[in-house]
Amino acid sequence: MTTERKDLVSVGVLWAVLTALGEWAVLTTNLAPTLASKQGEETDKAIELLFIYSVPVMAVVLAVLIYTLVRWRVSEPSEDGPPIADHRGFSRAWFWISVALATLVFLHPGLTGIFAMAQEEEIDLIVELDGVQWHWDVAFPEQGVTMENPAELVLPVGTTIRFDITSSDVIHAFWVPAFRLKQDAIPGQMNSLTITLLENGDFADDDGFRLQCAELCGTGHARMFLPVRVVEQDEFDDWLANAGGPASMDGMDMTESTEIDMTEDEDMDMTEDTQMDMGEDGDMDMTEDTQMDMTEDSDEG
Amino acid sequence: MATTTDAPDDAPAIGSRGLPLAFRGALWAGIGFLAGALLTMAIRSLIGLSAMSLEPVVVVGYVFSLLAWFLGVGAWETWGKGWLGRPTVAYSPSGWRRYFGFNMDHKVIGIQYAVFFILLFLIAGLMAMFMRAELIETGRTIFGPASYNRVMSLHGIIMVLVAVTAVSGAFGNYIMPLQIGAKDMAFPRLNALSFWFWPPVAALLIGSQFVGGWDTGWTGYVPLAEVNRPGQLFYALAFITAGLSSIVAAVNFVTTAVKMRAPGLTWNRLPIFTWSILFTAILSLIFTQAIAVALSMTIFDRVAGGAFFDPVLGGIPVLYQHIFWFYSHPAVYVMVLPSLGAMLEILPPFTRKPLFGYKWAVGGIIGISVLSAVVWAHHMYTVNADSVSNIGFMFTTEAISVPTGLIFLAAVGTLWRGRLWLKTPMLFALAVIFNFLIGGVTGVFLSDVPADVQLQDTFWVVAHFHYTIVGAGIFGLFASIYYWFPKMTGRLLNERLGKIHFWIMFLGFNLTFLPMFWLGLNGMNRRVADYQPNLESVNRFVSLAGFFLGISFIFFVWNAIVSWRNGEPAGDNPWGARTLEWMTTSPPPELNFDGEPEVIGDPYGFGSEQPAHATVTGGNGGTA
Repeated sequence: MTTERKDLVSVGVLWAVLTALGEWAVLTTNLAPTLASKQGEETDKAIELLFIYSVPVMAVVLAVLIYTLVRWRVSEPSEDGPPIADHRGFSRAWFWISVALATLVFLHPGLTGIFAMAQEEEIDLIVELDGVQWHWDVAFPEQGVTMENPAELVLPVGTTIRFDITSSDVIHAFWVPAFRLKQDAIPGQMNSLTITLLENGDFADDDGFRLQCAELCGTGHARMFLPVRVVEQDEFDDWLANAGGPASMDGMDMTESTEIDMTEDEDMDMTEDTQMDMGEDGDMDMTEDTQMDMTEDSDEG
Repeated sequence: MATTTDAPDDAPAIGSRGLPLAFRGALWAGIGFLAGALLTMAIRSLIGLSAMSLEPVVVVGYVFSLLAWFLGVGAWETWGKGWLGRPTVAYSPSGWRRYFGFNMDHKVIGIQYAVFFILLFLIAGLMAMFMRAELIETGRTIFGPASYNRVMSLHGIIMVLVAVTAVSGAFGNYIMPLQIGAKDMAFPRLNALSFWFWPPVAALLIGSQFVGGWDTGWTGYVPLAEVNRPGQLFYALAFITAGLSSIVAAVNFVTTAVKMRAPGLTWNRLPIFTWSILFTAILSLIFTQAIAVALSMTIFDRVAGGAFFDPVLGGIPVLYQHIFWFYSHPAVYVMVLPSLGAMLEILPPFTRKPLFGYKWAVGGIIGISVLSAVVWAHHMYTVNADSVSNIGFMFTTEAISVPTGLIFLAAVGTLWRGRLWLKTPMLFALAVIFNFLIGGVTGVFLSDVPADVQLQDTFWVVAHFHYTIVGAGIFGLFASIYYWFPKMTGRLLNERLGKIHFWIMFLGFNLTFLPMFWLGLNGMNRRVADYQPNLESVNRFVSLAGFFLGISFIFFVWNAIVSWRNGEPAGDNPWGARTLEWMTTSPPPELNFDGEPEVIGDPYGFGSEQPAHATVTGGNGGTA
């Protein structure tokens, strides 16, 4: 065996080992948080499949990097390396394999996932969501129940729910990590998202059950989330019957401030203090006068 | 060929005595602002509006002050007078003064860009330290959410501008004309103009903080950007100004690369770094206008009662995102292409091998550039979840992995059986390969619609774009600095400090950003001052790793200052490279070559009996 051939075989073995280790890690580790929706299964499948595809691809580059660093490292180059300017077969194979991989990724999990997620479902319940700086208003139009800034959102397990999502001011986004799907809430536009719930869950035990605003919407963005509880149908019915009006809980009461004029700093102070609960500091005050005194600001807090 | 000005040699020069011209520029800019502001107030009261309205006054005042700034910093004597038929004069002070006025030497401009953008990088890096300090635990740590959002926004825009500009501004300017054997850029005045746009950009971004800053991140999405404080207007003006600089610079780069190549420098012999600068410039030239459109529309809405994006008046908020990303996706290739080009430029001398698959690599650069035009809406999969166009954008986005793969083909092929000489520039180039591999592969997850609906707007995205833009773009910037610093200053950077910088930065970077993929998968959305308690331990780790990453730049700054003054003399060609920039003195003379360069062979003909890449003939004694 020539040395060149030996090098090729060695790097091939290294590639196979790296790939095997990587695939073993991908298949034995579950990185995904709790999953509670049917459509989200496609997301998790797609992410896992993409991890599986990624491993051998990354292993090619890593194997060459590691092998060349170990095998051909010099402290001072006394001579030039071999003048290999190209290798027709290798380059062409590289090109066509990458075309094939890109096509594969596009077809599966890409297209197959999109079609599976778009499958028509019979709608059991309609929930209207309206993003408002910085909370969610919820309505159940079929039941005639409207909730301004509720303390939690309770949903029945085993049903298919159509969320009609919009915004009253700036762009927000609907995201319940345990449901996987995400949909922007855009003023002047109604977007629908259909989700079939398969698992019970409660924000109190698992923060994946929260309706989190996922599009930067101003000061209150980080804490603009609504706890979600997925329960049995009869428990949901009870909740809906009792929760006709706006609930309020632990400092989340924002009903007074839905008409915030963002350009007025005084209003901003009020919202931050009442809703954010992130410090009684009047953090916003400093925006008006001087500037970036973050260190000074930190001393206060 | 004329030097940098048409003035006769004995014409009076400016800027050699007294305060540097930049001070006069600042003074004139102030006067210009007042003139514009007063004019606006006068017109407003004439047509029956209240005279004092901050935003219209600022917009008009700024336009006036920008013009006055250019004239004051030296464009008046070196350029403006010529329009009036009067003789122009030279700007040619020596020593440190040459960097503080309207200097047209591409080598001076390259250093102006390098120093200016490293300063901006350090400032925005400090912002990141504050952000990670806030995120080290849940709840309020050092500042509240309002300040967090402002600091995050400022970090974002400054870093984006650094990433877009640093490598092409510094090394595109300094090195590219040398690599093609030119005496200067095609349009020296435009070149000076493109640099002097930047101090106003920095002034606006810092000034924005005096009027409340803004909190939309660097993306400035509407309607949030239309209801925000006046700081948002400063952001928009700054971004438009930066865009003007990019366009002016791009015209110059394209013209220079096409028209100013030395005899014999055919397209087949063009160094790969010059290829990457050429296509970066083409992207800037075509797409930067879109960002000016999107932000001008925002300004119209804010200042002049427009309703492009106001849904109540029939505007469409999503329209902004389309125009914004039509620029900003190509812009990410503006950020990484020069660094990828630099990485491929560095591999041959440090492996002592030809660049593998040169034509494939050029094809990769061109392919990325072309496809970058048709992928913008992959940032918007969640705008309308059942949109058919998502399928199209998923296809084009995944297609980009093919030309990107060709860059890896060239890198891997060049490494194979090379003589790996692990000097600091080479370490950074290898880190570019490693980081960009992770950045590229994790991008495929985001291109996939079913996966993206979970990952969009989470820390997965934060990790992914830092792996591409910092991992490839900024590591490529440092690879370029360590590689070309000897040419620019005549001195080598200290190797030991360079290696300390590299290892802290490389480890710190990966320890900071790798766990962010996990955070994203586990429900941490991005741009948040606070998060759920179960993410705290990983966030604490990320913050500590981030501080470690921050420390690395102390070693760099120290190294740069010490080595610039007392570093080991580099000689003409410390790396034994073959391209033309190494066939002149370090630093090069005013007209770059002591003689006439002529290209006669391959730029990367290592290990073969091939002739040299070029010869320089006719000078006083010639060069290597």
